[in-house]
Order: sequence, then C-alpha cells, then structure tokens
Amino acid sequence: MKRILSLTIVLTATFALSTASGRPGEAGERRLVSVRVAYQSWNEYRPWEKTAPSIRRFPGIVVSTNRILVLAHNLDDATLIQVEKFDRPPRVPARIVHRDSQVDLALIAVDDPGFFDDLTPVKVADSVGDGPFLCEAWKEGQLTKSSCRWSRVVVRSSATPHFHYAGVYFITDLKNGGSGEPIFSGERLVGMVRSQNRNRVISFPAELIRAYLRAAERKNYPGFADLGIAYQFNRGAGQSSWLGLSGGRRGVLVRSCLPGGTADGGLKPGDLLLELDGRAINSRGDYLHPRYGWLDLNLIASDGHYAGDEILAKVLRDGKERTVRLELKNIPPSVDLLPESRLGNPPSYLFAAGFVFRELDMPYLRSWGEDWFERIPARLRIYAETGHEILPGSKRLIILAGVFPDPYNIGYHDLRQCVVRAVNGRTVSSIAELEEAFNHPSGRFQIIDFVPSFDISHVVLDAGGFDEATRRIMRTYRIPSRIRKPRASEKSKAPRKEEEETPKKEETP
Amino acid sequence: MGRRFGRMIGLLTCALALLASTARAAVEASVVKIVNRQNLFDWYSPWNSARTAKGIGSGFVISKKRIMTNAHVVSDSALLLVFLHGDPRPHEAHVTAVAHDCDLAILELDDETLLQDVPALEFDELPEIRSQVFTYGYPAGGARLSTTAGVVSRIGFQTYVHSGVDRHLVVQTDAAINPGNSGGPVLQNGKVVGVAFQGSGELENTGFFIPVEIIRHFLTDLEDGAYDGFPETGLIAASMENPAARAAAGMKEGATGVRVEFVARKCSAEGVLKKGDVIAGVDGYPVANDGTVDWQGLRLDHNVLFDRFQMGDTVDLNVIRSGVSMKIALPLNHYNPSRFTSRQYDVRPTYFIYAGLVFVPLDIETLATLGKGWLTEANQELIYTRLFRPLEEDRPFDEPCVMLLRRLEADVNAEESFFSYRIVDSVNGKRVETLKELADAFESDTNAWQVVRFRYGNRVVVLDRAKAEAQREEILKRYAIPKDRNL
Repeated sequence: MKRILSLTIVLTATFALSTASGRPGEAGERRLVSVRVAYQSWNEYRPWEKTAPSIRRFPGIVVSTNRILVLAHNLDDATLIQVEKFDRPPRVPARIVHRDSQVDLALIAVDDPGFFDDLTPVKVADSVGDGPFLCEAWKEGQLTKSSCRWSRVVVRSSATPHFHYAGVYFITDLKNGGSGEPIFSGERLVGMVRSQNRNRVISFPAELIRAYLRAAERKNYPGFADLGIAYQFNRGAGQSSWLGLSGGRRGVLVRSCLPGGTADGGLKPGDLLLELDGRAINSRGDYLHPRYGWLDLNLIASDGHYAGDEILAKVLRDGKERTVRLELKNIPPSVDLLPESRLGNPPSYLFAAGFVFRELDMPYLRSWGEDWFERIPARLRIYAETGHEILPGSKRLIILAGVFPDPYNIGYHDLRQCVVRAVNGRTVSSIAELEEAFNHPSGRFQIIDFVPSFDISHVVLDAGGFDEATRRIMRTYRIPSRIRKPRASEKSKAPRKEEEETPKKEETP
Repeated sequence: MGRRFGRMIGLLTCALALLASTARAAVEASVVKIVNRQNLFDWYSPWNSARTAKGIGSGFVISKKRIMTNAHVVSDSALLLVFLHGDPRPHEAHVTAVAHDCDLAILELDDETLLQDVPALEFDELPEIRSQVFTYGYPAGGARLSTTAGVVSRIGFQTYVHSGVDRHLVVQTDAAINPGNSGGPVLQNGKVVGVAFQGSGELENTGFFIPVEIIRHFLTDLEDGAYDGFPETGLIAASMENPAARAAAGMKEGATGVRVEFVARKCSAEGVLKKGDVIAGVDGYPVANDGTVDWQGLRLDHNVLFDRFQMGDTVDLNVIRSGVSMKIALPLNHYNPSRFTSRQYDVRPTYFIYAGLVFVPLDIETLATLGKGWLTEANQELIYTRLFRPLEEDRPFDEPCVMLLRRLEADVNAEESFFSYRIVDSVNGKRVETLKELADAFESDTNAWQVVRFRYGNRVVVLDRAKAEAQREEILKRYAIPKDRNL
C-alpha cells in the first residue's frame, strides 16, 4: 500500500498520469463493494401508479462485519438491493438496516453467510486531517484510485431538509463520481463523496461519518439536529448601533425561527445572536471551527452533537445580553409548507368522483422536469418559493392534480393545479380531513372551494351520485385504490404498512 | 345566415373589381407612414433615458385634421414624423389622443393645412367571416405603400399585447400583417373595417386587426375631449356546464348563465353583484353556460358586450340571485387599475433615492427590469403581491407598494444589510405604500437611525441618518444622478 501511495504522489507531481489502478489483492478491494439497486418511483400525477423501473449502481463501504455504508438517497424507492464483491458476480441480496435521509447516510446488511469472510472493515479517521488523499472506486472489475487535493470546507444544507453538514471540497481526477466513493488518507477513511461537478467533489467529513455510525449503533437512534433560523448579517455600523451593540460588529440578527425547531421558543426574531455553544459568531454568521476555519453557524447544531443535547446561546435582546438554553431538535421536512421530501413514503391522495387530490409537496412540483420552477403554474411557484412567509400558519396545501372525465363531472374536465381552500365549508389541510369533509355534503351538493384565481374557484357536484361516480370512474380508468393516507407519525423511522383502500365490489346483475 | 352572406359576397367580388381601381386611388392617398423617434425610459436607472429608437408604422386620415394609428406606433415618442402618400417631406405631428387599453391613437399634423385635400376614409361595420379584406401600410418601413389581401378567418375575443392585460374583440385575417403595417387601415369595399395591429408568434399567415366596434368606442369616448377607457366590471365568472352547479344556484331547468366567482375591489360590480350571483343575461343577450353570447351571429365571450359601453353608462343585467331572477342595473364606474397591472407608456419612471438606496413602485415595468423571464426570476412575493394578493386577500388590484430596487454603493450603505426587489413595509415605524409616503417617512423623522422594514421575512435595513445626509450630494454626484427623486 505504501508503495502505491508514493507512486501516486510521484505521478501526480509529474502530471504524467493522474489515476493509478489498484493491484489485485490490495486492501482496498476488501473494503469497497458494489451495490446495485433496482428502483421505481411513484407517479406523482397518478399516485396509485409507479413510473418505469430503473437501476442504480454505487459503491458501498464495509464499516464493520455485516454493515455496509452507503449514501441514503441511492436507496430511495428501491425494489431490490443487491451487493457484489470485487465488482464481479455473484450478486447477493442485501437489506436496509438503518437510514437517515437528512444526513444522507444509510447502512445495509447481507444475510448470506460467509459474505464478509474475505472483506475487511475500514477504520474511520477522527477528522479529515492531512493528505495525501485518495479516492477509491470500482471500474469494470478494477479498483481505481484518484488523487484528491484539499480545496476548502463549506457548510451546506442537506438535500433533504433540515440538516447542515461541513462539505469538504476536493479537486480530483475522479471521473463520474458523486455516489458515495470513499476518500482515504493512508489507511483511514476521511470522507465520502456526496456529489461531483467536473473535477470538484464535495465530501462528507470523517466526523459526520463517525457520528452517524456511532448513533446508528444505539438502541434509540437520536438523530441530528438543526438550528432552524433565518438570519441576516450584522456588518453595518448603522444596524449594529441601532441594536445597541458595543465593542465592534459581530453576531447575526435572527429574522425567524422554524416552528418546532431548536431555536423556536428560545431565540426570538430581533435577537442578535452573539454566541452559540460557547463559540463567538461573527458579523457574517461564521464561527471559528478548530480544524476547518470560519464556518457557517448552522454547523454548530450537528458538529459534535445529537438531537436532545443542550447548548447555550448568548443573545442581545432589547439592548441587553442574556443567555438562553436551547435543546437541539431534529426538524423533519414536514415542517415546511411544501415538504422537500416524503422520507420514502408514497404520495398520499384521494380520488373522488374523478377528481385527484393530493398533498402539495416538492416531489410533485419537481416532476415537471429539470426546469420545473419555470414550468409550474405561477401560483404554485409562489408557494414553492415563499412557503410560510406568505401563508403563515398553514399546515399543508391540498391540490387538485387533475380530473378524470365522466358525464358526472362535466364542466370541470379541464381543471388542474387548483389549490383547495375548503370542502363543504370545512378547511382541509390533509387527505384525511379532505375525505372527512366529503362525508358531510352541503345538503344535496358536494362543494369544493379553491383559492380564488382568474378562473373557476367554486365546484359544485351532485352529492347523491358522488360515491357511485367515484366507483364508476375508477373502473373506467382502472384506478385500483381510492385513497392513500399518510402515515400517522413522522417520528418513527420503522417501515410501515401503507394504508390503502380498494373500493367495495359491486354486485353485477 | 352567415353562410348565405358569404356566398353572395363571392359573387360580388367580380363586380367590385371594376370599381376597385377608382376606389384604390382615394385609399392610397389617405394612408400615411409614421416614423416615431422614441426616447425610451430606463426603469432600472429611472433617472436616465435608456436609449433612443426608431419605430415605423402606418396610419390613415379620418378627417381634415385627424390621423388614426395604433397607440404602440406613437408610444414613448420624442419626435413624430408623418409622410403623406407620394410626398417625400417629413411633417411633424403630435398625439392628441391615445388609448393604451385598445391600442389606438389620434395624431394631428403641426401644419393643419396639409390634410385639407386628403380624402378621409370612412368606417364600415364588422366584416363577415370569409369575406375579403385588404390591408394598406408600410411593412418593414418601405418607402412605398404596400397592399395585401386576405379573408376574414376568425372573429374572437383576445388579449391586446400592447397593454398585455386588456382583452377585446379582434378580427383574424390571413392577409399578411407585418411590423410597419401597424396602424394601417384594413379595408373592404373601400371602407375601413379595422386597424391592423398585431400578429401571432404561434400561428402562420395570421394577422389581427382592431374592428370598428372598438374604434367607434374609442372615438365616442373622445367626444368629451378626454379619453377614459373601457370600463372594468371587475368580475371573474365561471362556466356552469355542470347541472349540479346550476341546481345549487337555484336555476330552473333550461336557465343558463355564468356564476360570479370574484368581484374585484373598487371595480364597477363591487357592491352591485355578489359572489355566487348568476349572470343570465347582459344587455338583453342571454349568456350560455359556457359564458358565450350569440352576438351578430357569432358565439363570443359575454365580456364582448361590456366593451360596447362607456364609463358612466349603465348596463342591464339579468341576474339569478339565490334562485330569484332579477334585473340589476350595473353602473360602470371610472375606476381603472391599469397603472399597476399593465405595461406603461409615455410615463416617466418614478423613484426616490435615499442614502444610495433606490426605491421604486412595484409595477409591471419595474418587475420587467429583471428581463424577459421576470415572472419566474422575481422574488415570488412580488408576483404574489401584484397578481394574486388582490384575489387571495381581497384587496384592490391597484394597491400601491414600494420596493427597494437597487443600491448605489457608498460608505453609508455598503456594509449595511441590503435586499433588492423586496417590498418595503415601513420606514421608522410608519407604514409606506407610495414613494411620497416613503420620502415623508425618511424626511419627517429626526432619529439617529432610519429603519426600513420589509413586508416579508422580517428583513430590516438600518441607515445612519447623519451619514446619509452628509453623503447625499456626493452619492448623487458620483453616480451622475441629476435629481434624487421623481415622486
């Protein structure tokens, strides 16, 4: 191994060849497996159906006997998970042991006896430390090693909110990476490639990998916390003196706190946040990290902490300094008006008399394609960007995705992307509430009110024929189930049974 | 009925061909070329002119004094020159009336004697579908008059792109209508049946002209010397094709109409019609469940009928309210929210600069400073405020608001928090909606700080008053701004 390393250094220095290939029997081959996932995502418009299945291949890092570490999003919508050693057959089935979509790390296991006999778990470093750094990946049966040059560290928000991590940027000659390739310094795992853009990769740091592995071993996974604040800088002398701060500009001005988050209740809009967990916050919202320099204060909630820990915050409130105790809390994506993720759950929906209602979330909007933000209706774009700023207090929006035409719902066939305000006079913010509202018709009618638009916003249907129309239209368009409610609690991470209801069979004469 | 007329006209065209040559000479003499030397305003640097430009269009003589053309031909003009047929000399002209909501304008020549011998064109009625029409004008700016022929393809109700928001009756023809044709007459049997004004990006071989209906409305409106524009009913109505919708509205079997979904604040219908009312008839014309009326043998959107009235007129409606049929007189008021909802022309941008921060009203022009994609590029709170808040929060469409547009960097502001394209809520605790209120709030206070709060997201900008005042002249000088405000 040492020989390979020095060889690589020489080669990089001469710029002759940037990628050294591993030799058979190297240690690297025994700690990196290939994972193959068949997956199928939900059809966001026809939420009872799935889209065309597809395949993902990505690396898995052996972290202990029968535990393989992978990027969690690679397991999304998996229908079959298989693992391959040495990048060659046979493939053996694997199962998910644990995953945290916010951190984007997961552990899988293989039940095939003897599978791990010729594998060796990696050792995870305490921190990223010094190079030289090498990234490893399987390419057509050979282990390739690519050099990585340290660039910088940036605190990033996770793809699945709400979580912040220290993204370590490396300049590399790795090609087509970004799906969880390990980065080593000597024999120790120091990072895991989260994404790649040309010759730049962003890696999770060793600290986060260690913290995740330790937490996943616990009986009750504590989860990671996020601060949940929006703030503005305090660089200006005007703003600083107006706030009553003396002794130089520092701290950031808290604008709002996410409901149910760490800061909620402890910090207040208008507070100047001066210190968090004993670290001074500068006027740009950075603190001095012991190893990585000035980093965004959001990292404090997860660096060295799990949800449930307590930290202290020092704020300037109404011109007076005071110390506030904060309990670090995990903030699920569901706190947002339009959740970015359903955490692996299928879309909930209600099919009623040809009307397809569902809860409005980001996966739905993203199904418009790459340029979804430009293509979605203007009203939805507003909600997607502003969320609770414009609709404070709203829990969830229910949207009419479309109408399956039938003589019963004539006049409404072209309605789509309408946001529901109330059904039969009851405001609805979940599929369950919507279903219940349809159980209480307004006299002879079912009445749906949309948020006012430049078109129809008040739909009237005949209550008498409603259920019969639902059944008939479901038969015509082969819709297997009428409703899918979301699971009751978002907290439990255990797999759950989907609640689906199929229509009662009608007797045919 | 329409079909029979079509056939008759087919026979008549041969006969008319003989008459055409004499008529043509008169028509050609009446069509003019208009060169508009424009001075366009810069809405992002509202103290500057953006650029000068040259626009070419057509027009036609309608009296011994007046030339009719499109509003967009004469908009943002610094100098207007008219070329009479066969006369190489430019003649200075000025706009005496302009209607941006229906894209029509009246010009007069500075030298009134010049039109004395030019024959004025007469107006006809709405042409039949499939009947032949001729366009006259100066497409692509050519020096000589161009004529194209085509048939009337379709008559509809659609958006006039000049304002971007107004919808009126439109006639579609396959006679070529190109840039430069704008403002030229469309003729049938030697009489004007419309004014060429816009094309379509989607359809080939289609041009559109403004029919006489709309032209007459414009001319009638002008009779009192001032242009008021088309009345705004402020109604959003929904079709009632579902029988349950009709039953719920208490409509008897066979009754038809559209249901009122929304009544915009301050518009004519406010206080007269209510949400849930069914409009069964407008001015005696029964409204079908899909919102159309049978008007002159055409099935058109019922809103075409409101266009026949002037502000101040009263239109009779048949309304079904809670199942009871009634006649309601709807007085059409003078309220017009277009200042904030449509494109602006011949308007000098307003602004206020304080401590290098440039504040402007939030309207379609200031939004358009973000470029063509402003609808998606803009902070979406702006789109919400301008387009959807009036609906969602039941507020007037022309409720003014002020936004922070940009920053001219200076010592007083460079390190302070800054938010561009955000709506100002208050200054020093005083709520501001207009630039004047904003300027007053800045200038009437004497505190050490100027505190600007924004409507969404708890954003705040604090400026040091003493510094701001000390640097005021210097900032204006450094950025070559002649005046700190145009309120």
